[in-house]
Amino acid sequence: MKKPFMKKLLRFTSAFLITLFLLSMIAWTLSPKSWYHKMNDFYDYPEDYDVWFLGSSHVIMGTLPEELYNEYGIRSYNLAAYGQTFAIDYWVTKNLFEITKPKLIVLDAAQTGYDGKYQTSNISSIKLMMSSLPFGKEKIKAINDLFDSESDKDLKTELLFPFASDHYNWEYLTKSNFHSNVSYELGSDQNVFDQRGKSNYLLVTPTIIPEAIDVEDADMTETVNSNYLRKIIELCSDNNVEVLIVKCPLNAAKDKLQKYNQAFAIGKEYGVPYLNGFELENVFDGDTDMWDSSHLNSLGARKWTHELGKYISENYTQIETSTTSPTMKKRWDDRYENYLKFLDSELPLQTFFYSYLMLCTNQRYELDIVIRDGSHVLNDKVAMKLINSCSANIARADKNSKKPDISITVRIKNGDIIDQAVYSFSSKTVNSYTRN
Amino acid sequence: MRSISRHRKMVFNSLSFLIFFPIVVSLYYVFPKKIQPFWLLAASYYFYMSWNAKYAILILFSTVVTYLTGIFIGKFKFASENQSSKTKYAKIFVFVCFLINLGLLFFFKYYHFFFDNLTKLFSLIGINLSSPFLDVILPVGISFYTFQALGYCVDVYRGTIKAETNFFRYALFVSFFPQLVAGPIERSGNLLNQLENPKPFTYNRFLEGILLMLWGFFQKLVIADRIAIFVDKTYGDYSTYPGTFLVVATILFSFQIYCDFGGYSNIARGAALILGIDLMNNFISPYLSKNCGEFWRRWHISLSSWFRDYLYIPLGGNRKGKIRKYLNLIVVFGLSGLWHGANWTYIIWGLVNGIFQIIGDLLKKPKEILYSLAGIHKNKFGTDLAKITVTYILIDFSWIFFRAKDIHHANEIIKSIFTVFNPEILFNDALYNCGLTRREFSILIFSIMILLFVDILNKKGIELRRKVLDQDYWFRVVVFCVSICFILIFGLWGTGYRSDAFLYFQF
Repeated sequence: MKKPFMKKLLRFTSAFLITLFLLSMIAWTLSPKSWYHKMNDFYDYPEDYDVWFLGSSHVIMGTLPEELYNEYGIRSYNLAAYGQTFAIDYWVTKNLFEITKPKLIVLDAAQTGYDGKYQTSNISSIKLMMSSLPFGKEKIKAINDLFDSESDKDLKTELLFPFASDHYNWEYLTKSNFHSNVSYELGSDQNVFDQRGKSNYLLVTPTIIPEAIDVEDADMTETVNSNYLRKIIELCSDNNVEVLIVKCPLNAAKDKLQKYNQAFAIGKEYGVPYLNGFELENVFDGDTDMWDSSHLNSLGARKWTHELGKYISENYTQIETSTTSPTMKKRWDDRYENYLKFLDSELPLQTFFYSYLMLCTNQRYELDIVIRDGSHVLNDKVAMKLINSCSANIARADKNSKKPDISITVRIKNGDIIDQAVYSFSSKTVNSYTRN
Repeated sequence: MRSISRHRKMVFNSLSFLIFFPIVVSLYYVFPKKIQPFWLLAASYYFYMSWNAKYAILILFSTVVTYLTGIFIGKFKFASENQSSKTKYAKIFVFVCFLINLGLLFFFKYYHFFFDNLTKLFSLIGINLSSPFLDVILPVGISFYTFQALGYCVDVYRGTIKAETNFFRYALFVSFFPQLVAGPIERSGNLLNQLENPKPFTYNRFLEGILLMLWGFFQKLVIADRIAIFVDKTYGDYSTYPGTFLVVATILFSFQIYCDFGGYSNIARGAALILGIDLMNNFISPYLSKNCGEFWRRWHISLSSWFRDYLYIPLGGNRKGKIRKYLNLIVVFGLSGLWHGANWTYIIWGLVNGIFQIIGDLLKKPKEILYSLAGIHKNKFGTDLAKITVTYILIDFSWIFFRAKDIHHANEIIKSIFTVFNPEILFNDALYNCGLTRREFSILIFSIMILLFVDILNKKGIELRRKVLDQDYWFRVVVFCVSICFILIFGLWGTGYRSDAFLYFQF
């Protein structure tokens, strides 16, 4: 009687495995692929990245790994996420250390003063980062630590068992469920291109960037995140990874500046250096560099990335700026090419005047600009600053000519024309005019 | 009185049950036959205590009382000497047993309802009565296991079954976990016999049990819980969703309650089948009934047959003339309504169904005259369809009372249905603003079609699951795979959804 029983057992097992396989295919299809969009390059070649950037939206928008590579040859990945706290940074670091270790981790000080493990206003972003982590002991520890209250039960279930919520996505299936959407920004998000065309959505918001305060003027009140900052530093120390604490500039009140100084002070306790963007003179312009009062736009991000690259290359000589293998160099060159194509394809889709000009300030482009005399553009401080930041040949047209206020021809330096835009302004508030 | 605790754990569609059940089944068949009943008993008490450990004492108490009653009845009633006085003692034991158990049921379920109404009654004549507020949780399943145990006592008294002398077996009869919290209310003759002679594991029975459970999960997770979103929204805000919205909601509610309760029953039956126990079928295509009488022979069969055998027939049934018969029907249906909950809406729901039965009986002859005059033939498709439709409408109307939170709410719903005429909502997108999107509705309608298809087959005596099990192995595999995937994808489970909302648990 053993044979029929074995046959039945074998059949049952095969049916069970087939069902399991089918379910895993369905689970994959129904799962949102947004984490893949951010992390695909990292998991494909984790050994390619010597520097990791961690932090919140200030970092995700303000630090551009592709630009860093192009200018300094520094290979980095932007592991920041919207509203990401030091608590989450810690667990992301710990989990990713199971796969690979960088030479340097750059931490943004923005979340130092926040007294919670995660921000409830950024749940989708948290889910994205946590979902991207490979399933294992450390991920379970992370989830148990970060979401330890009764109200977190559902979130915890979703993260440990994503299908419990993903299965509802049958109603919202789109192309991206079947084909992963690849990003060329190495984890950063200039938050420009998805917003194109939206009314009143500008990528340039004139903002006052305050001057730095004395670094000793720090608010040393301990918070959940200041404690996790210490934990990250200790974790990196245990794993022979250097740490740099930074803060990119933004419009911040004194109390915030004091909390950033706390981060620098904590770093000092461990011998960790810092780079305070507020201390950099004649670098940033609040009129042109800010996406909103708290975040750098692409222009500001390029400037900040330049400063980061300068600091890292001067102070961390162990960070290799030349690739070690032809295949790795090819990968990086291909990535950068794809990134440039991405920028070039998105630029023509920008409509608002300030936004368009700001993106044109990328030194990759050469502009031919014709401004009609008497145009309101000439009296707009921000517009003129942006124009002067471009690599442009500027000509004037007669006031009484029927030409538009401003016409812009954009070409890649020593290359083809990629776009032409024309604007006409009937009032002096030129910032949100759309192209003709 | 609080209804079921918000900390319920062991519902059928919970992770804890999905871990608990395979362990129970696996060890059940590993243990020797002598240990099996003890294992099941331990598992049943564990299952019950996961709801609220304290109330295990209550079920144990009921078990002891009814067990001893059975023993005493057996000793007294069926002893050879002094038959009449021994029968008198046996009657007293039954009476006391009923008093104790129904007393407990009254205390936990009806105390506040009774005193609230008494207070209102006395206030009408100017007397202020104050009853002490008792904060008690309604023990889950109390209505079910109480009736099951009392049915056993009556069966022993009537001589239908011998008193069970094995306490542990009897305790398992009362607490058998698949049917403990929401039925079916099993008859002692059926369940006790099976517990005494447990069946060995068979692969076919196992597969059939799994299929039944899957069908139950489909009913509950895909249909019932989905409908609940729509019904809760519309019934909860009837001024925003008047008229046809409420008509649609009431129709959907009829499927919600059928699939919620029927789904639970099927999961219970499937689980029991896997353990080698055949529980009674509680629902047999109820909405395909041609009259209200037939409906009550197809709906919640275990309860309606319990009331028939232990109340209606002892009251005289239909043997004491029409007036007495109708009175008995009113009493039985009124109490059946009350059994469902401590609220006038349930009583009225029960009475409405009783009245429908009476009217149906009164109209029997006139209908036959009308049919012959009009040339309408019985058992023709058109006639049957008309009867089914009318019966469904009547039953569905009564569901308004069942679903409403109080009499005023029910009145408002009925008023809105009959005074607000807005059928255009069926043709624009208005229905998709009531908690269910167009796609959700599509899945729901499709699933209800499947349900009705299976019910039609059942009515014709075709059990689809047996047909599936008769097919080749790979066909069966496909059916299982597709069923599981369908339920997991389209079922309402997981985060953002509470798994503890089986409607009949509140009874």
